[in-house]
Amino acid sequence: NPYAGLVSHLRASWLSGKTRPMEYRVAQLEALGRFLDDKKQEILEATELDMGKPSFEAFFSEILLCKNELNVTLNNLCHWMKDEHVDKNLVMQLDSAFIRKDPYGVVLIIAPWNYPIHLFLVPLIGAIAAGNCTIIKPSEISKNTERLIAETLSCYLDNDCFAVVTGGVPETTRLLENKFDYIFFTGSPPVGRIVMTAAAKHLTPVTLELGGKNPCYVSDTCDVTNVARRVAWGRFFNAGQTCIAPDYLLCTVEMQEKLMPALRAAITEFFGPNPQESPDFGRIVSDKQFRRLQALLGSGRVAIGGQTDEAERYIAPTVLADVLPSDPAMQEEIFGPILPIVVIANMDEAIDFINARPRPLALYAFSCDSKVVNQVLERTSSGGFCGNDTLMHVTLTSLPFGGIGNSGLGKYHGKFTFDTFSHHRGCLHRNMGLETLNTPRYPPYTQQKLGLLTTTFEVKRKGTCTLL
Amino acid sequence: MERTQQIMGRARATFNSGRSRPLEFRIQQLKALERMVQEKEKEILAALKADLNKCGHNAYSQEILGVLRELILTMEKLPSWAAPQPVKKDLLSIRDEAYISYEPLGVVLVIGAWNYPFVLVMQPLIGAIAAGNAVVVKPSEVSENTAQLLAELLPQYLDKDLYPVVTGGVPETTELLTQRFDHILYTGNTAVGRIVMSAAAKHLTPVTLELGGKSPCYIDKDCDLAVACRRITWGKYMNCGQTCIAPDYILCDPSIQGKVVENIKATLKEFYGEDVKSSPDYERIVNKRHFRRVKSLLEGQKIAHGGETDEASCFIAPTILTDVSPESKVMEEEIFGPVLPIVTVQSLDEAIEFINHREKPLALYVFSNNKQLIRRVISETSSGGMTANDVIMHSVVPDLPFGGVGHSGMGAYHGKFSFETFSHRRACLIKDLKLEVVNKLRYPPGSMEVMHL
Repeated sequence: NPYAGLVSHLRASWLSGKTRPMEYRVAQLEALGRFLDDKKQEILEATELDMGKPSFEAFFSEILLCKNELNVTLNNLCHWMKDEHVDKNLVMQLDSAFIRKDPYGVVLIIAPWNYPIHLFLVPLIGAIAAGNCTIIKPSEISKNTERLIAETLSCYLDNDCFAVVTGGVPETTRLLENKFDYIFFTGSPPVGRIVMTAAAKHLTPVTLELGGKNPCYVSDTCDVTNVARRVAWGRFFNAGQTCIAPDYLLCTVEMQEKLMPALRAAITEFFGPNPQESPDFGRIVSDKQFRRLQALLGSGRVAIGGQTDEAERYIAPTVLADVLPSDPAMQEEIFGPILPIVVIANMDEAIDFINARPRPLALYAFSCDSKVVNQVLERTSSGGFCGNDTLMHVTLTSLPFGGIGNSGLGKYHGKFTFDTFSHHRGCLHRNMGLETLNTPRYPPYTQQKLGLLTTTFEVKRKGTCTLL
Repeated sequence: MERTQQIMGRARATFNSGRSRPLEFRIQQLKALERMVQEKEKEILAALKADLNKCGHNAYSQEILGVLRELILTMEKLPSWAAPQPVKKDLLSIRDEAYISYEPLGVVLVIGAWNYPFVLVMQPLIGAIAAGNAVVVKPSEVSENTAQLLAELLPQYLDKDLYPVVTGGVPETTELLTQRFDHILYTGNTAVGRIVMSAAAKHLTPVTLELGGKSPCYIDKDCDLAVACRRITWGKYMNCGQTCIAPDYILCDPSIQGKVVENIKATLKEFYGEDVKSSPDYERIVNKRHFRRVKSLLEGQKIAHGGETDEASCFIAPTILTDVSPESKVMEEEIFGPVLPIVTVQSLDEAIEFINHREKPLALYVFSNNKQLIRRVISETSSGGMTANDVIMHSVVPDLPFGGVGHSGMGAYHGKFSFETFSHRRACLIKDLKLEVVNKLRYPPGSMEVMHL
């Protein structure tokens, strides 16, 4: 077991208790902030090398959003760490009942390649805030960012308590043989199953942030220009390599026709007449992904874009019209700059279409009629939902971010990350006196004792009058 | 097995039809459960007596009272629990609607245990119904009378399609676990917990595992020993020690070991009289297999009190072992019986180290007049839950989450935590389709200056 030494080193640090004091956690979190500030340029460069990530996007997702999470955590940590006192019944008035937030111990964060800093750093913020030691396993596919993390993070964080492990599938498999006290995984559903199966051997709790096909319903009553912009932005951000990107559009044939020129206009507005020359449009992360996406271009008919350049791993912002449910583009999560449009007759058909498929990580509905938006929301199920926009629900730190069913289990962001990495321990601190109050619970049992017990422990329906 | 497929199919189809979602429906089902408990109290008590020789008082106070309480609490609070929860917005979302919507997960599975066979099925069931799910109920086959009763009663009172009861043993449970559920709540032992989680992993099904372990009980020299020992005796020997949060073993200074034994002996006499076997208030071990298992833990031990057994009636007397070696068999597995080992430690530090070098327990107990000491124990150990200066009681505070950590489990329930366990918290952000001007900041072509705005 090649990682046994590392894990037991971290476990020894954990047992020493050094990660528990608030001052320590704050110091580590502030160091993470300095990492983001000092290495901003390197992060932008590494992610550009890895997937042509435009600096604008990289700054937004890898720096800005991360700093937001850091600040929310630093601002509230003291409050989050406090024992939460709870209501007590009559017999416990002199006792203290509270929920203590205990760290788990040594946790593992496995991050993917598409937002390679954000998707390890935001969970890490919660892990540190909750008082844990952490092993970080960045993705080997975004290899420049992997190298950056492996080489520089150790200059900022306490190496006794935080470590980076690099490598691919074999290394991750060996790593997962070890016992962790929590595993946080972001990636695909098949690998999510593997992670959870490995975790089950040690009874390790997990959070799995997975994916799926995020539907985007556009009703006939809508502001076509704004819809086109918001959808195009969400779809083509990071060249479509976003777990919460609108994966496919559902609309009527009339709306498809109206949307097409609007989408074309939005794409030109964003990326110019030749997106390949725009500094604001990304590239596909690997040859394997590029070829996979290229194969999807045969679905429906190419209405916008469709150009590819293998040398650059460039796929133009593409919209496919009249896509059939049986087409290749509708069989897997696209994870690329291709937007299929599937034509449906009306909202009911759209909802049935969505509900016949695995529950997605995100779901989008566009309409000027709020009743339509609410209908779609109420009659479907998804990790999260955004009405009249894409992606934005995950930027609000007060909203939980997570999937359901195939798209994942657990949630994080803001306080939810802290809660994810804490064990909520029910604690009762009783008084040693007043032993007579306990008499009704002790044998030998009598009807009178039972009556007393019932009275003291019962929850009376509101509206009844009780003397006690 | 076809029957399981049929049951699952019906439950899922009914859930998809939306029947279980309206609050009125859920409350109506909970009211029906309340009626069931009230009308069938005699039958429930009889089943518990047949399964565990539980006397009426214990059965009522441990199982029925708790269930009634949970029902009343849930029915009262459900509207507020289920209401969409608005969240704090930022500058960009100031004009939007942002809230968390509590939604049912779908078809969930509740697997009960045999030691508190009624409440350990009912309490999760209440939460699952309250959250709007369809629920497949699998009571433990070891407590077969209660399982049979639940299989008869639940369909009489509840919607038959949404809340089927599946009875049977390991083969039936294994078959059930191949199905896709949207959440599984399992109460039982660590070994089977692993099996449940592995099965769940195939379908990416979230799980709540209420397992067990050895719950330590540290007695400080500075405490009212008579009171401490009475409370410990109560929690240890109730249900013949077959309680997941019973104090499993005692840690104390050698100088007080003798007094601890004396106090427990005196309390036992007070509780059960001179002849424990004839006390109507003392239960029995659930079956021969567990009887033999617990009896074998006595081998080679110093029995300070008790030790009498009778296989025919699965009787094991309340037993205390002294000077127990940490390496002995009785200190390896969860005892789950009326045998109380005392392990002596020289200091609080040693006690804490002892506890921390073992798997995290479901419960942890400490008795002391010294508040600092208690605070230290809480801060330097980990456990599912804990009570200071008493045992068991943290599990009856309705607003405390009840669950394990590490080998003692994952997730929690009781009260609001049950509702949350069986719900999906869906993030909802509803924006205006107009007001595009704010969005322009984020669209390409971008510039770093704009970004810093």
